[in-house]
Amino acid sequence: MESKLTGLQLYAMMLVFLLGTSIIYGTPRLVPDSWLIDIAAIVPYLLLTGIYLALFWTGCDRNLYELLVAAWGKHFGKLFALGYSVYFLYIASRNLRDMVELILTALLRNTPSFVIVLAFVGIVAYAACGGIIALGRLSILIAGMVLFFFVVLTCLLYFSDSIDLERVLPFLSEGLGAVAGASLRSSIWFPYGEVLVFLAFGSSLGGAKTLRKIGLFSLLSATAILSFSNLLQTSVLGIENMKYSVFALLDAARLINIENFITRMDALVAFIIIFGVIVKSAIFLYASAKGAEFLFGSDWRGFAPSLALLIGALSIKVSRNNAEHVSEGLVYAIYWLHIPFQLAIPLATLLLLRLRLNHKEA
Amino acid sequence: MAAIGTLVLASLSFALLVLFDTLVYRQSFFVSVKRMFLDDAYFNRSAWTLLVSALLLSCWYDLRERPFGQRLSARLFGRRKDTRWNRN
Repeated sequence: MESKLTGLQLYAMMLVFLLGTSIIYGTPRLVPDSWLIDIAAIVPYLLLTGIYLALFWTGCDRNLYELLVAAWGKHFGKLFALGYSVYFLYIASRNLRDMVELILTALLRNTPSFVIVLAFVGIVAYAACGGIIALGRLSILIAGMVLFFFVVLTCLLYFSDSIDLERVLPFLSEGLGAVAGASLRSSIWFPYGEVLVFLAFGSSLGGAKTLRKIGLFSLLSATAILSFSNLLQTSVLGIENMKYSVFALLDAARLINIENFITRMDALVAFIIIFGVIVKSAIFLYASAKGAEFLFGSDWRGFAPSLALLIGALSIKVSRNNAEHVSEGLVYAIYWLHIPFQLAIPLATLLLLRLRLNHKEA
Repeated sequence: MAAIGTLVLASLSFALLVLFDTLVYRQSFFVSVKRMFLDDAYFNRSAWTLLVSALLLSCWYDLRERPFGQRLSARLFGRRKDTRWNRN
């Protein structure tokens, strides 16, 4: 029998997962009022989560890969499971690349990317090899640290008089429709739709009831923190600067200056992204290794280290430069990967499972 | 099976990267394949080193499962008790 995550572990894991890289990059600046996008994404996200929960409920705590085979049959189910395994590896590699980009452009300019990737991949593989419970325990620690660093950053920005709420104006200059449209185009798929990966953990989540309660609570917390983070970034940098800033929170942290004594607090931001990406990548790696175990029959612990190295290789080859990396993530990945894997396949699987269940009952 | 699994996942993942390259640069699939394997525009060849290491690591895992691999492992690293997380 698989060990189960406690409520706190699951909450911390989901919270760090949702904050992950989004807290640094901020919500994509598709409209001037980017801090409202996360709030507007709540309703569509709840609908999306409803599909995942219904899937989990219908499948009686079976994991994503077992559900796919139960719904689509042995051959198609395994094909989709392979697709999900690759999909999780791809997202993990994108997250790792996000972190490498930040470290290379802002902190360790002369360090070869290979060294950063190799060091990081080792940590991620070690975290994932510990299993789901070890990841849960690690998440509690990291959630505490991320929140602490974020609160410190906010206090320092406040005391250095960098926050000016007038910079948030004009409010809703492009209307509410543009905000709602932007939430549907980006936020719902990244980061919120990515919680689909938790379905791969099956019975370790502690049942559909716990998942519903804790999932909702962590979603609301993450939305509140991300909206506040975006509001903070806009009130420090202003709408125009926000539009052209790649690492908005990092640029905001650089403005901290208290009596010419407390300055250069970039390290706090680096800690936030490094810790967030460790948990996020380890979760994706674990889910992918579980998929590989399901498909190829070998123990997932045998896959985890080699797949971690594969994530490192993919993160280097995923795009040639940061501009390509961002455009790929905001346009192509959404239409070609996120919508099919986060909405179309789960919805179709749910319908098929319901049909099969009704057919059996009849 | 770990080596085969890693090889399959690696091939599919790289095929996905080539597909995205085709979409982003609006070029033919074969040009993207060529660029993926030959161009060195951004980072150096470290990606291939990592990929080969991944495959070798999975091969080592498969080998360790066989009696010959177990004997080799015992000769190289000595016999060890199962670690705590493996028992879990």
